[in-house]
Order: sequence, then C-alpha cells, then structure tokens
Amino acid sequence: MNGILKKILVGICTLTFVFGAVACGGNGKKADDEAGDRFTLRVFNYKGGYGTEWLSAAKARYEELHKNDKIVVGDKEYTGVYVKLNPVKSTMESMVDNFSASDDVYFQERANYYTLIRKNIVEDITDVVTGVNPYEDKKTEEKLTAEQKDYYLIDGKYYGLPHYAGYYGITYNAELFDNNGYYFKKDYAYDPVDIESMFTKDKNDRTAGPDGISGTDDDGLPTTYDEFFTLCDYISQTGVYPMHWTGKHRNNYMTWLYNALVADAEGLDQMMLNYSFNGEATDLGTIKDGQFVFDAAPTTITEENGYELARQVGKYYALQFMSRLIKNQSYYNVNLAMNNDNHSHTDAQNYFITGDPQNKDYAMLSEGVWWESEATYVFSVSEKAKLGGKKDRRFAWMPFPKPTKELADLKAQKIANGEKGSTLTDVHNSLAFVRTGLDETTKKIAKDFLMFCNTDESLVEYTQITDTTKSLQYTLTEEQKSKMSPFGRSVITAQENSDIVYTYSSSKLYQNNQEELSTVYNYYPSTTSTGVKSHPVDTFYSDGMTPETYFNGLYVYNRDSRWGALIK
Amino acid sequence: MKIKSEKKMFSGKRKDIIYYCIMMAWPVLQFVIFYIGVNFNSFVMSFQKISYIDISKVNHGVGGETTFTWTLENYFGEYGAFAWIFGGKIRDGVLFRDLIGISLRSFLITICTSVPLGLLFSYYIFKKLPGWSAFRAILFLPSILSAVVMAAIYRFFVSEGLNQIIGDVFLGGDTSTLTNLFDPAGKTRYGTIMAFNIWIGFGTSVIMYANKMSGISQEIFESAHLDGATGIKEFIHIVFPLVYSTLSVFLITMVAGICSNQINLYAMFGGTFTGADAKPLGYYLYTEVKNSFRGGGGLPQLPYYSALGIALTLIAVPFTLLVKWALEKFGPSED
Amino acid sequence: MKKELNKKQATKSRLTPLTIVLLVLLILYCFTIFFSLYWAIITSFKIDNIVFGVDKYGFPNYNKYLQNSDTGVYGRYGLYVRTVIENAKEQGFLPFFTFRNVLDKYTVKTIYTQETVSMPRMYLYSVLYALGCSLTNTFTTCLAAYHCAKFRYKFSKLIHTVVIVVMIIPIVGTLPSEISLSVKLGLFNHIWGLWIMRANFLGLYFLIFYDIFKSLPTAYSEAAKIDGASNFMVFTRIALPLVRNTFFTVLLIKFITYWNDYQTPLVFMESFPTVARGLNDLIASSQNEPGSAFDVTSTPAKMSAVILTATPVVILFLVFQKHLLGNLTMGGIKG
Repeated sequence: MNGILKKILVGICTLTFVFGAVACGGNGKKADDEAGDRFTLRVFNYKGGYGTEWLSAAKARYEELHKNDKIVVGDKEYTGVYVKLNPVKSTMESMVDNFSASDDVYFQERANYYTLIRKNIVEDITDVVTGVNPYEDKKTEEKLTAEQKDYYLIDGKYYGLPHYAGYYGITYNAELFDNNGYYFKKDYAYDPVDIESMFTKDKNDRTAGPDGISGTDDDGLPTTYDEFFTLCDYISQTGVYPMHWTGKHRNNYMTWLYNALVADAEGLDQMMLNYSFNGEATDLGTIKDGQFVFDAAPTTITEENGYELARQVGKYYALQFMSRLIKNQSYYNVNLAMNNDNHSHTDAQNYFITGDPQNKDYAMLSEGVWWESEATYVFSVSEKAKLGGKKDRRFAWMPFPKPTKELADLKAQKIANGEKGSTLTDVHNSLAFVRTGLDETTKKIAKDFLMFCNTDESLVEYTQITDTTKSLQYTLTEEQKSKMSPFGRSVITAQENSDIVYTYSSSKLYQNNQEELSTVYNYYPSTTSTGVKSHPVDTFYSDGMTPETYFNGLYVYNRDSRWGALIK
Repeated sequence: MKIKSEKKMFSGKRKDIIYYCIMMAWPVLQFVIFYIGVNFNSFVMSFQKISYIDISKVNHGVGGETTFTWTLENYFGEYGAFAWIFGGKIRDGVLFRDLIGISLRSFLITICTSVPLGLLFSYYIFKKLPGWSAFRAILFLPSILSAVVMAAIYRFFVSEGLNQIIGDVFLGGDTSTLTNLFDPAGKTRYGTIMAFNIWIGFGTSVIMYANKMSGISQEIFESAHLDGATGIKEFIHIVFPLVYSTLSVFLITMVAGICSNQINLYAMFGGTFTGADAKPLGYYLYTEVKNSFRGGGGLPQLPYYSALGIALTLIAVPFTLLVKWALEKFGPSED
Repeated sequence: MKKELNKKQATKSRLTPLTIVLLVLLILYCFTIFFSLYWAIITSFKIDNIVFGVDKYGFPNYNKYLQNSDTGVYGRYGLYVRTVIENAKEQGFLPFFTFRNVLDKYTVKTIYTQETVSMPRMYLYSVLYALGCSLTNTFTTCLAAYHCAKFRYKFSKLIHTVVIVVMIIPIVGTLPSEISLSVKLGLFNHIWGLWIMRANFLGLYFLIFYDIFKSLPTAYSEAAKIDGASNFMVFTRIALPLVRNTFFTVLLIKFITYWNDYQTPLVFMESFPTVARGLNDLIASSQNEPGSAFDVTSTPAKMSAVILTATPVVILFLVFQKHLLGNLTMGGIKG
C-alpha cells in the first residue's frame, strides 16, 4: 500500500507542476479600471494588417474632445466618454452565425452587408450618413461613390459605411531597383541573349513607363506582361529572386493577385458585370486552336447567364500571366513560395524587407496594400538594427503591366486624355457599423463616434498612420502626404490614377451569394474528376495545366455545375 | 460462495439480488443510453428529415426546437448514402471510391509493414537480446505521447528541418533541389503521411506480442533447439503460432477500423486538409460531421451522416466477421 | 564455470543474421525517435522564425550574434537577427522566451461562448477532463466487472458476452447520433457531460478486471461475511484494495489516453479547450497577429506548445514506467 501511496503522491506532484506552470503563465491582465466615472463606449476592431494604432489615435482625440461632457443614464451621471477598444482577429464572416458579441461600434472585414441586415445585426445609421457631420459641417454621404450609395442604401436607409480599402497587387523594392538598375532603357532593343543591355540605372535614360509620361515615378517599369517577365529574367540573372509571396497562403493570396490582374485587364465597367450581372459584355470569347477568338457580337449579361463572364478575355490574359510566372521557377523561391506550408505572409514580408538567411534579396512582393502596416514590428526591429524603418525604406506600389502592347498603348492614351488607365480591386468587404439592440444613450454616442471617425481629419490621420486609404472620397495635401512613408505615398498615387472596383452590387443574385461571388471562389473550377477544387497557383505548378484548359474548365464548371446552385 | 444455479436470470438470496441490481444499475443504464440508445438513435435518425422551427434560436447547432418527417432520402435520394457509395456520385466534392481507396490502401500498407515489424521487434525483446529493455521503453514512447504531439513534431521536422540537414550533409548547404515531402505536387505527400503512421504505429503491439511470448515455456524452445531450429525457423514455427491469437485480435481490430481510421490526418493538418490524394474515409466522416453540424447547419445535417454510418456498417460487419472466421479457420493452432 | 560457458553459447546462438538485422533496425528506429524529439526541444528554445531560419537544427548559438562587435560579418539578415535576440533578451531569461510567450499569449477562441481561453486554463480543462473521465470510466468498468465475476447470474454472463460482441462488431459513424443525443440530454458542451458519457464498462479492461476478480480467492469475502460485512463492504474494503495495482494502472492509461485526446473535446466540449486540442488548433492555425512582437504561429512557438503538452505525460511515463510496461498491457493508448 505504501508503494501506491508514494505513486499517488508523485502523481499529485505532477499535477502540481502543471498548475505551477499555470500560475507562472499567469493571467497577467490587469483589471480594466480606466473608465473611471466616464461613460464606456465599446469599439470592436478587426485585428489584422491595418492594426489598431489608427483607432487608438482617434480614441485619444475623441476622449479629449468629450472629457467634460455630462451624460446622464437613469440616476447615474457620467463625465466624459471612455472608448474601450476590443481588437480581435475574427472576421465578421466567422462571427455572424452566432452574433453574441457585446461591442457597440464595429470596424470589421469580410462583412457581408446584406447578410448582416437580414440577421438584424446592423443598426440603421441613415442620420450618420446623410445628416451633416457636426465635426466638420459636411455630409458623410458626399464621400461615397455612386456604386457605394447604390450598394449601401437599402429602401432609403443606410446600415453601414465602408471601412478600409484592401487593394491587392505587387510591391517592388525601389532601393534595390535603383541600385541594380532594374529599369528599361529608353528605346531598348529586345535581346534575349544580352538581357542586361535592355536595362539601365540612369534615371534619365529610362522608358516612359506604364503611364507613357517621362519624368514620373513609374519610368522604366514594365508596361506589358512580356516586359514584366523580361524584367524577371533580368532580376533573376543578377542573383535576386524576382517575386515573392507566402507559401502558406499561396492559393488565397495569389488568387487575389489573379483577380486584381483580371480587373486591371478588364477595366471597371466590364469587371463590375461580375457583380451587377446587368449590362453588355463586350470582350467575351472562346479558345480555338490555342488562340483566343472574340465573339462577333456583345452578350447581354443577366443573372441567368452570368456564367458567360467566365469567358472574359481578361480572365484568359491573367491566367497566362499566372502560368508564365508559376511555371518558371527562376522567378521565385520554390522552397518558400510553393513547397512550403509554413512560410506565412508575415514571414514573406520579413524576407522581402530584410532579405533571407542566405542574404538573398526579393525584388517584388505579391501582397495587399496592408502589408507595410502589417510589418510594423519588422520595421521597428529593422530600425533598431539600423537597417531603416518604415519611413526610411523605399518600397513602392507597382502599376500593373498590361497584357498586350495594344492595351498598354491604350492606357497611355487614356492617361494623356486625362482618363484613368488602371483598375484596382478592393478585396476585403470591410464595413463600419453600429450594432442593433443598444440603449438610446449608447446608440447616440456610438453613432457620434462613427461620424467622428469619418471626418476628413480622421480619414487623413488613418491614412498617415496605416499608409493605406479608407474606401471614402477624400484627398491629402502634399504636406500631409509628406508625413507618410514612400510606400504609402505610392499607394495614394496608384489610387488617384485608378478606377476602383468595389465588389458591391444591388443584384439579388449577388446579395444572396456574396460569400461565393465576391471572393476567390470565382476562380476555383472543379475540373478534375474527383471534384477537388483546384487553384490557379497549385494547378499550374503541379498538374501541367495550361491556361487554355483552365479557362475552358472554369467556363464549363460555371455553366454546368455552379450557376444552377447559385441561382437557387 | 457456492456456485449458484444459472437456470433463471436471477436467483439466490434476495438481499444479494437487490444489492446486485443497485450496483449494476449505473453501468447498465449507461450502456443502455450510450450504446444501445446511441445506435438506436442513429438508426431512427437515418430515416428522418429534421428541420428547425425557429433557426434564429440556434447557436452552432445547439438550442432551438426541431421537427421531423420520415424519409428514405438519406439512403435512396439522388445523393443519398447508397447513391454515393455505389453510384459514383460526387458529394461534398468527393467520390466515395477515392476515400475508401485511400482507407484500404492505408490498411494494406499497415498490414505489410507495421505488423511484421512489430512481430519481429517483439521477438527481439522477448529473447532479451542486447538492449532489449531500453528498446521496449523507447518503442512504447510514441504511443503514450499524444498523436498531436508526434504529428506536429513529424510534420514540422520533415518540412523544415529535414531538408536543411540533407542539404548541409549531402549537398553542401544547397537545398534548392529538395522538395517538401508534404508537397501535393511532389506526389510524395501520401507516402510521407503513411511513413508517420508506420513510425508511431507498432509501439503498443510490440509490448503485447512480447508479453504474450513470455508466456511460452522455455522447454518448447529447448526441444526445438535440439532439433536444430534457430532464428527464422524458430520464429516461424514456434513463436508465430503462439502469438497468433493476439495477432488475429489485432488484425480484426484493424479490419473493423478501416472505415474510421483517420491515418492521423487531423492530428497533422487539422480539419482543413483537402487533397484527394491522401484523404481517407475516417477523416472525411469526422470532419464533415463536425463541420456541418457546427457550421450553422446543426441537427438537420446529421441524419444523412447517420444513414451513411448505417450503410457502411452493413458492409463492414459481414466483412469483419468473414475475416474473423477466416483467421480462425486457416490460422495455425497454438498446440 | 559451466554456467558462464552456457551463457556465452546462448548469446552466440542468439546472434543470428536475423537478430543482427533487427538490432540495426531497432537502433535506427530509436535514433529517429530521439533525433526528432531532440529537434523539437532545440526548436522550442529558439525565438522565432527569423532566428530559426538561420539554423534549422543546430543548438541556438546566440552569443555568436551578441558578442561579435563587428556587425559587418552578419549581413543584413544577421543584423536583424541580432536585434531580434537583443529584444527578446530584454524580456528576461532568453532560453525561456518562447515558452513564456506561448503560455502567456497563445489562446483559443471558443465558438459557443466566444471566449478567449489561455494556455493555463487549457491545462485546467485538460486535468478536469482527463482525471474525471479516467475515474468514472475505470470505476464503472471495475464495478461492473466485479459484480459480473462474483455474482454468477445469467445476467452477468450476458454482460460478459455483450462486452466481447461489442468489441468485434465495427459500427461505423455513430458520431452524429452521439452528438444529437448529448444535445438532447443537455450533456453537450459540458465537461461533466463527458464524464457521464465516458463512464462505460465496455472494452478490454472489463475482461481483465473480470479475470482478476474471478481468480481472487473467496476465502476472504466468506470470512468477512461471517463477521457480518455486507456485500458492499466486501466490494469496497476487500475486493477493491486487492486490485488496487490493476486499478491504478488502468486509471493511469486512461488518464494518458484522455489527456492526449483532442477530437472528443473538440466536438463535445468546444467551450473548454484542452491542451491537446489547443495544440491541434495551433498546428493548423495561421492566425498570427501582425504587428505584435511575438508570433505564436512560428515553428519555435509550435514546438514549445508541443513540449508543454507532452511534458506531463512524459513525467508520468518516467515515474510509472513499470506499471505501463508491465504485464498489464493490452490496449492501445492513442489520442
């Protein structure tokens, strides 16, 4: 019996060890007693790449502004407002099924507006949008585009406001480009043998770039897909990896890139058909003998034949781009970008900023505009290591190259005519809203805070902190821009020069299937007999898939399998 | 205690019977609810179509009242269990034959590797050859650590550490020609997963065979040695027949587990593994039930999977009994 | 003298080609086990993916970075690594950096209660789940086995048969039914719900207890009864102490099994994540929080979580090795 007792004692010791660890781990969080006698407003913020710093800044200003306000609820009197921030990494999509959260104001992403209204989660904030904003004597509604109004206005009421802009694309390392001369030489002659002869370091000897105007920031950058891959060839020759992206989330991220390329190739009007299902599709076609042949006549797109949009030429072009990129393994680090389920997007950002353990550099990163903000910690370490912080390092947003020479020329022409030649796509479906079920006082203050966050002052502050923009119309002065990082400024420039695709629509089909139709699911065809969804990235890498087969498969899948289910 | 008559269900002293009934009440009640009840419920549910009266009261499958109607859809509908199993229909994006194919393949690989290796290793331990007791403890170690622990170590070691080591030792530090063994494109993912299953698979069986062998009397060996039987001969003619009963228990358990074996996919990748190249039926069933129930679908999602379970049981039971019968009929006897 | 000679001969006869091959295989096998554990431990002490990326299997050599004042030798990445190490050093004893942060920062977000559960709480849930279930399960098994063994009613025989039959019949896919039943009985998403659901007597351990109780001499109980002890006192005062060793071993095995189990807690007590479930979530997770100084999804952080999950089991294994490896080894212990 003694032996057993001893063992039981040892067992108890083991448990004690465990609880010891528990105690050491400690629930070190202090009780939140900051509110004092102030009225508490609880604000939820999606804890993603854009961070919470911008909200803390707004909170500080708001609390200061209202510190002497008297707020009476029942027999309790508060002095001032305390904004309690709740940053959580859960998207609205994951919260919507069981919406029991208790915050008052929400800044969220992947929020399917119509689902939220259907579920009665979002409060009517028409007065916030259409009323005069007391903080600036201006209506917030004026900052919305026509498409946004069309999307947000339901039976004369607003239930939310757009939040941040999530453009996806390519960022390049401008320092590296300058140092290594990754710019096309003015009037270069194409020479596949001596690639170096086509490039220059000299700032004054570069081509006019995608905008066709010499003397701008984009001089010497690739204008067409062909030029882009020639550039990649050259970069790889100089011992640098041309492109980089996350191996862990490659299918999601690279499909975003694919989607962004489609939008830029299609242009705003044609791209919007994918969400509105209402209008003339002018660039549909089919593959015949390996060639894309345009339809003789335009097709009128309705919700019933929306699958026809799978034949848009931009989708074919972008597939060609992806195929050329993925199939040439000198364009990226296969071990990180492809053969790796652990290389996360933050690791990828890190390598892009610092180089990798072998001290190899990465010239371009496939990422969203939020990446720089997301890499804030990396930049701070980098600054401490005397390698340069966010404001010192020069990274820049790359204007998308166009699929063909004709389209590149057309873009230059448009810009010369004062039109916009590029198209950016917002991928986040972000939303700012007030929750339903609040008492009158809280509701009033919540709405007030939302208005406060949408003043020009707040919007500019947001942009300066995150180096990205909010999906509202506002401009920054040159002086304000100068406080941003070089990357942030390049994003503003890109936005100014582009039409923006917001994945909004008043189409019933779209509203009922926002989850499917606004996301990368649009590009996952079930082409294999097993019905496994394949992605443009993995499939080009592993299956020997051609863009033509994928293009056809996508169409057949949409027409025969997917559309019927969506229409229901 | 005298031997009691077994003519009636209960006989003997009344006091004893009452005591017996009280003490057995809980185990029996538990069995009735959680074995018989569960299986009966499974059977009943498979003929139901369940729906919520007010879906807004449901929180990830919990809460809310349900109603139901009787139906055969779960079995014989267009995408019902039988259509899926026998009709080659795609459901949830997968074909039944792909899943069961992986399950059977995994079973065969285990039979051909883990079982013989386990037997041979236990023979080594039983013979108390050099280092036997250390080997015994080490072989047992992987089976007491959680599958999640071993799977996590294996997955990250293979995809992060291994290539670096191979690169440093054999390729002068260059890892660019090495592919990730878990990479779907390399066609090596399934093999890598099965290697893990073999690696951690035979610990328990080794201990059990070794303990069974230790019951063999030394005299048999001595007389065999006089006949000149050593090594392989000794193993085949003496040891194998004597552990056969334990082995057949293991084999039957393995056969019975074909449909539910997850080949540790969940431990390694969580619930989001999508590759048809390595997904077995057991993993599919667990993840689909869990996800469809909790993903907001709730109770109405369950009847179909119950029907699937019943249909699979109808196939698995005769098959298992057949294997059991065959093992008993054609196996060597212990005498 | 003669004895020694015999011994030598015996060793010689045992070292056949077969056993030499087996020895080599066993050594290789143990090497892989040890090396992967070594790798996991080494990695768990590294700071983050950046430091890990420099050397994916070696001993972390931070002094190399901290001592050399000539920063030019590292290159840009090296300088960055140096700063990361310096930052970590500011937080306290460097080797425990990752462990401390995982214990402090790793959380699981529950679906039903929308709670953020930290690692220390997961330990608590693990202990509650594993201890509770192993106790109810072992006790119920023991209870049923004793009464079936000692009271030879027909019903006892029936129970015995049921246990054997249930072990052979492969019933596939009862998970949906179990979920629906536990929801209806109000056991779903409670730790005590699983204590009840796991309090069954089915399985191999019933047969073991049964055999032991059957072979116990009846003299004690007869004597006790003559002294006026009731049936209940005989069971608790005499029978149970006699099987305490077996009871403890079964309890231990069950405890480890439930500690390692992650799939049951994941479905049936989602709001009370255990350590094993937390680890499984982390392995599949990509939810690193950008902008924070500690990336909980980095490979070193994952390995720290692995070590934290495995340590209690390893301690139990080392302390109770004899119990676990002894004669009572018949069931699998896989989580």
